[in-house]
Amino acid sequence: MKPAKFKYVRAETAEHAVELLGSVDSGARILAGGQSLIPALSARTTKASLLLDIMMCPGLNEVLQNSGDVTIGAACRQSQIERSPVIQQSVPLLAEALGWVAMPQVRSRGTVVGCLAQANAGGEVPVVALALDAQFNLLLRGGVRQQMPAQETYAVESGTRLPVRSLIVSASFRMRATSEGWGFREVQLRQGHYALVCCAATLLLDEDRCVRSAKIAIGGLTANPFRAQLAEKALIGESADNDSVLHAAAQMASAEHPWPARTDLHATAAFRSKTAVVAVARALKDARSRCSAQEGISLERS
Amino acid sequence: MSAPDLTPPLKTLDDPSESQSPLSVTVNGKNIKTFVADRLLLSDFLRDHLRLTALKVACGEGACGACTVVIDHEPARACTLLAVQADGAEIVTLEGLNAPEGLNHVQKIFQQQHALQCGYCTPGWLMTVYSMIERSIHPDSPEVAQYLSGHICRCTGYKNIWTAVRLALGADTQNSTSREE
Repeated sequence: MKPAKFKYVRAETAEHAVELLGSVDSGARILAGGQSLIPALSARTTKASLLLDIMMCPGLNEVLQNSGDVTIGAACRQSQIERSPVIQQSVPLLAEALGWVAMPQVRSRGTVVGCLAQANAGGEVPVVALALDAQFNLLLRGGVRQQMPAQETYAVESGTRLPVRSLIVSASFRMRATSEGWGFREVQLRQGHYALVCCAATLLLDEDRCVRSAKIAIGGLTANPFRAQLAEKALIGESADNDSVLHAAAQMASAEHPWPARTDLHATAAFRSKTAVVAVARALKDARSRCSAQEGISLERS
Repeated sequence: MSAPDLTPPLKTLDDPSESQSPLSVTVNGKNIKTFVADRLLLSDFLRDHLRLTALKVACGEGACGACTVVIDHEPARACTLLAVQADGAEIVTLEGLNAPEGLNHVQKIFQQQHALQCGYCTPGWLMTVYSMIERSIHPDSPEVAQYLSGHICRCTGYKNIWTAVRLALGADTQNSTSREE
């Protein structure tokens, strides 16, 4: 359980990291918190000839609040974001989901953006990114900057569609709209373990407590998370206080996975499919309980 | 790169193909400047180079918590970090919490509550409890379970550990689940 030889370089800037990433044929890897990469190197299931540590790069450790979204830099640690008053107030879905990411002893070192880049099948952060239509801000060689929506990034059965030799310098998450409810539910083998399945959901209701807008993202069921768009559409106009409506939506959402459900040593595809229904229904109920119907959909500003 | 003159003495890296980097850390209040192999894990640096052997290496992948130390006021795994990643950091190991004589306050509670048997996982638990006390975590907070889920004990069972941790966090003894009280 010791890593094979590699060279470690502390990148001076994000641009420096991207240039070095392209300077080696293959085997150069970006190192952020390293909470998945270092164990993988220790187990020698992953190889690297060059590790580019981006944690000291200026500007990457920032949380920036804009008019409608919050941008989280690639060096921001999960514990820092989980406890950030800005995130707790403006992106409460993310703060809640981070409580499910491994344990506090791992969140103290792991990064939010690192989860997005890693795209682990049992990871929580990509699911939140999908539910909130997050935008990933990429840096490519030659200083080229590009935005990629979460939806496009994970539109593949596993892994990501991120361009090769690119770095996610930050990710922008939509702020909670006034009166918007949110829910994050997960089923795991034990606390701190990866998700067997998880669901991130948001709801906006009208004055009659009928659904005005719903977002449902499911993780763990398939290797990459997906948005349950059929269920989201079916919910619109329905009474949120009718439990059977939410249960029907959960059934529909769990069935519309674009790729086959996963079987691994922890759970079969059939078990995951059944469990997903439970997770989605609970997330929707949490979201409903956090909705306040009076106000419109103008964005909250602070 | 010639091996620098070091205090405490470090193993010389003889292999010229081994990439090395400078490392400057504060461990238990002591500044250490040295060179280490890039691939050296922090757990091995602390145990083999600095001879701080309270932390244990068990799973080597961050799951079990036996190697937990406190880095910049947060509990973290020493086995899922490279030593070079800790450059500039302030690290506390269990040796840094030793009482001048005998056991420190939390160790005494663990002893009284029978919160350990073989003791292999105990140094990790103690570091997490130290962090929880530093953060003033309330003994009834749901965060207690989250922190404790970061440790695996294979012999004592968790009930006594749970009681000891709650007591260390200031829980009322009367309301604890201890058999002793």
